[in-house]
Amino acid sequence: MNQRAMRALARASKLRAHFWASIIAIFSRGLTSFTGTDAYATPTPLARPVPLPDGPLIVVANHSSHADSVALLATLGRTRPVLVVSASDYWEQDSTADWLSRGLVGTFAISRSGDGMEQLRGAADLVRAGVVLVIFAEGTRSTTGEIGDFHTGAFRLAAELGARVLPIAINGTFESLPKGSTFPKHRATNLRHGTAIAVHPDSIDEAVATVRNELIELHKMPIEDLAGFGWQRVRKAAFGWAGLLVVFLWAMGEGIFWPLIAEMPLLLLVVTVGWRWRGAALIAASAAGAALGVLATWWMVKSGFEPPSPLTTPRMFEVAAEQLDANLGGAFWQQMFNGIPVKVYAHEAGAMGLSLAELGTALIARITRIVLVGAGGWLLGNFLARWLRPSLGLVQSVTLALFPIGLWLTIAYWS
Amino acid sequence: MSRDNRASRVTEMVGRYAFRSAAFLFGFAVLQWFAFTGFWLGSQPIIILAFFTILDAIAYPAFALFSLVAVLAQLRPWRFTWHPWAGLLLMVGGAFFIVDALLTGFAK
Repeated sequence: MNQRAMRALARASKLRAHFWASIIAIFSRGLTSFTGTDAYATPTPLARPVPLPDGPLIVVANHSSHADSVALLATLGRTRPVLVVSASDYWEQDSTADWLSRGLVGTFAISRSGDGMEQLRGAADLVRAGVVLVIFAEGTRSTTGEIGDFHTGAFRLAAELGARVLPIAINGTFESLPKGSTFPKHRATNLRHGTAIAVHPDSIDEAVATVRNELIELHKMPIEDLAGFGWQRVRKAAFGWAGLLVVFLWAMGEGIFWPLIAEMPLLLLVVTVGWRWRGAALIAASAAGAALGVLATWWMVKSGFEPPSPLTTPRMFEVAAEQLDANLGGAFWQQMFNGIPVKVYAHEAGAMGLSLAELGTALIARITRIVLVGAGGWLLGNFLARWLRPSLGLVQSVTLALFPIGLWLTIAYWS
Repeated sequence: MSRDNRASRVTEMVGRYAFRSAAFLFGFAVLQWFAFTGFWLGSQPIIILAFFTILDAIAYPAFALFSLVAVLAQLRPWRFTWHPWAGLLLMVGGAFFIVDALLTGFAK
């Protein structure tokens, strides 16, 4: 296998890994890999690359669900190129099945009725070149969740190639998506990596027994429901001083010059705190910051100083002035949905020479918006926690990636 | 040799999912149409409009492509079920509602 093809396969594996990791993050309760076989095995969350041994490697795993291939692809594919040995009588039934299996999963299909070993040897060059070949040694999905008898093909191939066999026990996929079911249940999945062994051609049966026994032991371990990497970090920040300070300064900054809305960090943090008073403290900090920011801009403009207003348009200032002039109290309520930054209203309030009492009355709308959005996020976070726990990092990344488009649409409208 | 006219379970499953997702998106499109042409969310709900524009721009092409793939997938085994065709029809209908809703919403 030439280097170019190998690079293409590695790229495809990484892409598949990211794709399936996103799907798992959204639809499951999370996936954690454990390396080390004792009770103190090191957990690796889905968002981090999992360590794998160097050299030719064949992964042997238990099989009870379609989610098994996906779980292995999502984790191993980040570290090394991966192909999953599949049954051609199932995955090559017609063009759709073939396309799905080759494109989305990355399969190496062999027939279950013919000479499987001879077909398996077709992957020899790939394994030598560094591709991790995943083989479900039971040959089919278990209908009981128990680990069945193993075929010897994986071990014979490993012996012929001098490759090592790494047992990985997949725990949780039988509970979430057993054979015959359509929709996955929201459960946690654990991948427990065993010890990679070399296989001698004279001791195939011994190697089979060793790997099967280790898989059975690893399969018995309890499923650990660990939160995703993103959730853990954000929750830690939410309960520290940093979280309070960020929401306060962000909201205050938005009232003066900052172009990103105050609710962004508030929602991100408040969804992780659960039914704890910290949620109310975060909302209060954001509301106080928002009010102070508006007051600061009003005071600066009234005193003759013009704070910078990036990503605003002259029309925004005109409309804000019209609304403040027409209905002082209603202007800030309209600001809630119309996309004109609050600093523009604060600026125009200063330019119009509104009194502190008048501005204070108008600010009720601004504070109400922060409290309503924050409380909504707090409430929603409690209901959606089981989905957000594994996927908050992904949600956060997607939101941040799409926010500039929303900002551009808003500015374009007010241009 | 006789031709195998059976579509695989995978092809049929893809067709059913194409229809289900298209039906959901069609309902979502009609709801947006009522909301933005009836000004349920005020006269200038720009933040919400921007949010839905992004959501629609991602979801509609992706699921329209999915419906199209589901239709094309039936050509090879030459066995047709109504699901992906109905899905494609719903996606086309939904697109009209979406375009009208967003144009009305963003009109100055």
